[in-house]
Amino acid sequence: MRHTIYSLIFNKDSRNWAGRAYEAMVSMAAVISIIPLMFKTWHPIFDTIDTFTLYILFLDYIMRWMVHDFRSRYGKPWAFIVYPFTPMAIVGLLCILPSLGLLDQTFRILRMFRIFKVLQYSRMFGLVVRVFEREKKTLLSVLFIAVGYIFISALAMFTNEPETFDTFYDAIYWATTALTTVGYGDVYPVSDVGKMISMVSSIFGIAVIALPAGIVTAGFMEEINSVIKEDDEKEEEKKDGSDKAEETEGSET
Amino acid sequence: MKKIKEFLSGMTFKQKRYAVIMIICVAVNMILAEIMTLASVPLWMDVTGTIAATIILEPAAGLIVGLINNFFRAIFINGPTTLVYYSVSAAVALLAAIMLDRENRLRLGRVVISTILIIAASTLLSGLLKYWQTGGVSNLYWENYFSELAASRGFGTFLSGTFGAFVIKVPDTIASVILAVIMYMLTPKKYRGR
Repeated sequence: MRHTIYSLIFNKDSRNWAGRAYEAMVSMAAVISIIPLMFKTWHPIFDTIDTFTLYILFLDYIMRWMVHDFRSRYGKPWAFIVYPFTPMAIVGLLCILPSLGLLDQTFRILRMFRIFKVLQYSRMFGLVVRVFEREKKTLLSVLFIAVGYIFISALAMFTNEPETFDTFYDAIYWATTALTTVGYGDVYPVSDVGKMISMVSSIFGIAVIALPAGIVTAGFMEEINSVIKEDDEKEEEKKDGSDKAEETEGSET
Repeated sequence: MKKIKEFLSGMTFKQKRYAVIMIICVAVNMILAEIMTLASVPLWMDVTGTIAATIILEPAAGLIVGLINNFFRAIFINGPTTLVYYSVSAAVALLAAIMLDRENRLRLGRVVISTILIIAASTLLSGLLKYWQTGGVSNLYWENYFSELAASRGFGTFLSGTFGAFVIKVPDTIASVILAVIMYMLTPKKYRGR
């Protein structure tokens, strides 16, 4: 029974029409459920949308839990115990909690996480997740460097211009917006030394901040290439199989 | 109609057996719950079919029966916020599996242990959910009666609500387990098990 549920949710085979219909249903429910968030005034139809999509997303959450042992590296019963603590399960639960009445409606912003349901079924999103998993250590060390750099820049600026930056938090805010090239311009250095610090930290900072983008892009390209290669190999295998079948048919006749 | 017939004729014996037993169990859950409400009996009895599906077939069947039952109640009777009470049904379905031994036979000792665990888990879960959602107010008169009784003795909201749930859950679970065991015994051997 659980195998049937598993193939319904995870079997991406084009012949599995039920699986494809299920995937379309959950994705559509996730997208539709976000629509009410785009409006300032509440309309009764939004309640209907919320209720209807809640049923589908709740069902998806439970069914995924039921078959988690097939995908998890843990055996029974640990796979079922671990499931609620997996990132996608946490997101899946958080996005339905306000509709279930377990969180106040002020938390309805959490509903926007429902878009992850669509991404969950997307092959490209799977690739991005894989890249992040593979480059986890590198990304973490780069993040550590970036945070350190922001901290040092903010500290230099705060010590130099205490009258411009009321608190250290303001200095951190300035450093983050400047180094990420956002630069709102609401807080900026006014002294010559402050401007010099700003220029130097920006020049070196941009390299530090741009590093993760490069790592992710390179990883993503690598992953895409390996997927294309895999697809090509599968296609060739299929071709070989059909050629051989034709050959044997010919020799029989 | 023709397609439905084709679909049914394409089903294996196991699939048919599962479908029929699960439909019966869902119906048992719904009918018993409705009878209890209409007769104003202070019991829920809405997990009898869930326990029966677990011991006759497998825990996954119990989980599905509980899910269908909770969906039905949420859609047609109580509203979507009651969907969270599926956690109670799920706990019941999983704990009911303890009743069976390795050879898939019911053992009295195991039935008793499972019943105690079901009472404990369902009391705690429903008490917690009730407290979280409504601040401890139930839609069952007798549950509220016992909750208020505990509250008047100086217990806190959560403890009073849980006590109210506990008083109802004890006879409710015992009656449900007895009925489910009867259903198990009435089911021919070839229809039981995975």
